[in-house]
Amino acid sequence: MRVILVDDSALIREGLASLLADEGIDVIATFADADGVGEAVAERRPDALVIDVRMPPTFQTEGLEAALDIRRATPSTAILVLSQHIETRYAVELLEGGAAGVGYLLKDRVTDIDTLIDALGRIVEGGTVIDPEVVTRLVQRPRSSGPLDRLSEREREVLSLMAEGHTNARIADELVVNQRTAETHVSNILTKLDLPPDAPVDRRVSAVVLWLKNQPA
Amino acid sequence: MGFHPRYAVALALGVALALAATIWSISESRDRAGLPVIELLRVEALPAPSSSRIDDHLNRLFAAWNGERPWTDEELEARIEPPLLEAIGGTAAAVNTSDAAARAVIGQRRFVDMAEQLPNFARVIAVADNGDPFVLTMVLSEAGQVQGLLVDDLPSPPPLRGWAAALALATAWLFLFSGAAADRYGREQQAWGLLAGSLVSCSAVLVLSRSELVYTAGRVLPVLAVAVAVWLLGDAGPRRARRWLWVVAGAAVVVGALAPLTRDAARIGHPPLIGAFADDPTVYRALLSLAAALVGVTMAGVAAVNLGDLGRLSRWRRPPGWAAATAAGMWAVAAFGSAADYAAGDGDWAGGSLLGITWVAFGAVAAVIALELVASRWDSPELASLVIDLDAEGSELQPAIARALEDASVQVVVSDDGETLLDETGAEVDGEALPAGRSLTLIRSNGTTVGGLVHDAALNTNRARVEAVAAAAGLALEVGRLNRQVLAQLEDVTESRARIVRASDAARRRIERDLHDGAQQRLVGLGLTIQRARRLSGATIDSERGALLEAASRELREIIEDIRAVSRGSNPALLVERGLAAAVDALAERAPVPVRLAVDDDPLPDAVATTVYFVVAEALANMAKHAEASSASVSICRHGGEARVQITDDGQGGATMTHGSGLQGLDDRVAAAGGTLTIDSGPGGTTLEACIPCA
Repeated sequence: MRVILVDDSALIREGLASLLADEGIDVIATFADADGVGEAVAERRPDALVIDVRMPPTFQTEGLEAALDIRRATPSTAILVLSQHIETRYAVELLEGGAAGVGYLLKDRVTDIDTLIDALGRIVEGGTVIDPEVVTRLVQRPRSSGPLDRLSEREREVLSLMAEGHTNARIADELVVNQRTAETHVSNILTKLDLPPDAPVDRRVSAVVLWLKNQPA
Repeated sequence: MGFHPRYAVALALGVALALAATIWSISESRDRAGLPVIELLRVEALPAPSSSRIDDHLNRLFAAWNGERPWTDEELEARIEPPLLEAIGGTAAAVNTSDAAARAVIGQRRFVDMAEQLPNFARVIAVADNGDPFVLTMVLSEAGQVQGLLVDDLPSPPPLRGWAAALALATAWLFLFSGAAADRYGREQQAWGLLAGSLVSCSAVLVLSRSELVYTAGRVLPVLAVAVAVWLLGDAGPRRARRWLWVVAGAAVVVGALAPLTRDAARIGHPPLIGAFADDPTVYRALLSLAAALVGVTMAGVAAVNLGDLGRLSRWRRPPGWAAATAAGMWAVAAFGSAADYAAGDGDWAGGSLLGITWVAFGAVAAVIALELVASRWDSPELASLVIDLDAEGSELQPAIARALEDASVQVVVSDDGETLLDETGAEVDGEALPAGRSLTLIRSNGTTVGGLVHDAALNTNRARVEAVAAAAGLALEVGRLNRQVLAQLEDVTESRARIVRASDAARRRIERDLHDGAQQRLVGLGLTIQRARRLSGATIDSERGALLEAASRELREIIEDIRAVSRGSNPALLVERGLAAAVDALAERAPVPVRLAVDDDPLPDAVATTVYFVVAEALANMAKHAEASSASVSICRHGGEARVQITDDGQGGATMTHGSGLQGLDDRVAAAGGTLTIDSGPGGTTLEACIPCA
């Protein structure tokens, strides 16, 4: 797997590059800011781009804007956006740019190398990865009443895993149930929430996340 | 009483003199009431006599008076002589046909004019001891000998000269009163003029004296009345006109004083003080006529100045102005009348109705000033209203002062350095070089000149009023200055409070940046290193080393999480990056209860949005901690020139802005932005509303 790393902190850039190299991932380039990243991606076509949201010059959302631009320009490259702070809004913005092959993770997740490798693997295969923190906030946001009330506890767990971007098989693994049970749960949930029942996983993620985000308080 | 000390002394002397003159004139007239003849009032020419007509006339009169029978010498001696002797001073030995006696009578002052004018026949009006006037008719020989006397009743004219003295005394008292009042009301210059008027009026009774010197003084001093009248003009009218009036009045006084000296001292048998003219009444009459004419010119001038000033005078000075002009005009007419009278040769400075008119006019001047003083007393409510009005400042000050002074032309000038006076256009005003008819009154506050009023010079006759208005204006200017000072200080404080808030916001951002770029990044880096160490050492999660490293990793992630919690609260990154609605939505997401949002799309200025954000953040945090609410709502809208944010919950209330609470800090922040924060907290819930102006 060929990866380009973008982070303004040299410490993290180098640390992450070494760690990925240890895992046999080829870090073909690193950048300290978003300048020139788009060109490098277009030119060298890495499998994945790992990019920090907050970078020079304004330390706002340069990384996110760059990710969305690159998404449009080079859809074949998977993008993992890392952020020191999680904002559900940024997850939504990212998903609205196309859910296939994108990920949005809290930055400290990289200190758990397994999570990082897993996420990279999933997005490179066209999947979607949404940080559990985002999903937790969306699902657990206090609401007066609504369709979510109709979900059972188990269905809520399934909903969260769906929103994080997991496949039915992975959901079954996580919940230690057989895949058919998981599929039934998924189908029930989508019906209860009036979402298309048989969308592909990546579409499903954005549908669920957007639905949750737009659910009134 | 508040008189000026010097004036109090002079006033006391004036009162003493007026009292003495009054008492003396009363006692004098009482003394004379016992005399058979009090006053000689009028010398009247009869048609040039012929012997037959005289005889006819005499016969008719004698017959009518004495029962158709000629008077005998004895009868004349018994019935005519005593009253006649009394009338002429009692120095003649007899009144009959004897030459010596006749000359003795004619030698008396009263008969001189008569003898000179009418060698043969004369009529004298006198007053008998019973108070009735009667006529003495003397028949004189060619040689001037008295050939006979007739006494006839005469119902008129009245004894005007006594009236003139009474009028002069009344005028003296009126002047004293007006002078006292003028000094009391701060019109010192007028006060002295009025006191002088009183002295001059008192002097008019001196002519009642039998002492030749006192009598002469009584003749000379009243002519000073004309000078007093000019004095009392103060600074009315053009300066040049006043200068000429002084010259003419001075001439009138000199000439008027000279005239009696050439003649009148002879009243009781003494030669005139200027003896050279003793035998020539022409000079006396010419001087009297000239003096009267000069007085007439002066008083016509005074009337003209008063009339000329009318247009410039304020409402409250106009009636006195008319009255003064009328009095001066009346005086002028009387003076011209006297001049004509004297020129015709039969006037008398001391007697005659014209003199009475003059005293009435002179008294009217004092009355006018008294009236004006009373009028100025009526002004005090206006002064009070001025002080109230003088909350007014700047552009409203001039109209308020113009109303109080009744002078629309008044101009307010201000001084910042206590010396230079500037008008409203910023041009310098030189108090020494004002246009004619303008006058400057300085406005002082705490001993410093803070400005001035440039007003009509006519107002200077009422200094008390001008000073009172200036004092009130000084108050207003001082209040205005303090207002401006306080406003400037308030502005400073507001500005510095805003600066403190900005500085604290900047500090928050710096802390957040430092945490983000420093501690957080380095801890993540450390986490990566630990991970690498674990991989490189080949330690599995099950090994002791692997478990330790994993525990370190986990601990590290918790630390990072803690730091994130700190830095997230200190910087509304989303507010900067995605705006107020997104930032408030993120706040609502983290709230423990459902929060309904209604946020206008209309963007707010950055500083206002930041304040609104912190209001919502603090309100929701407060609600999470204390309210035990089940739901809340946040609405943000832009209404008119201000942003309104309202946060409502259905909790248990009890939110207060106690010192040191988060809400107190919030109130400070909102106030720093020029807004207001209100809290309504009770059992039904809490509503917190902030209104922040959008500049």
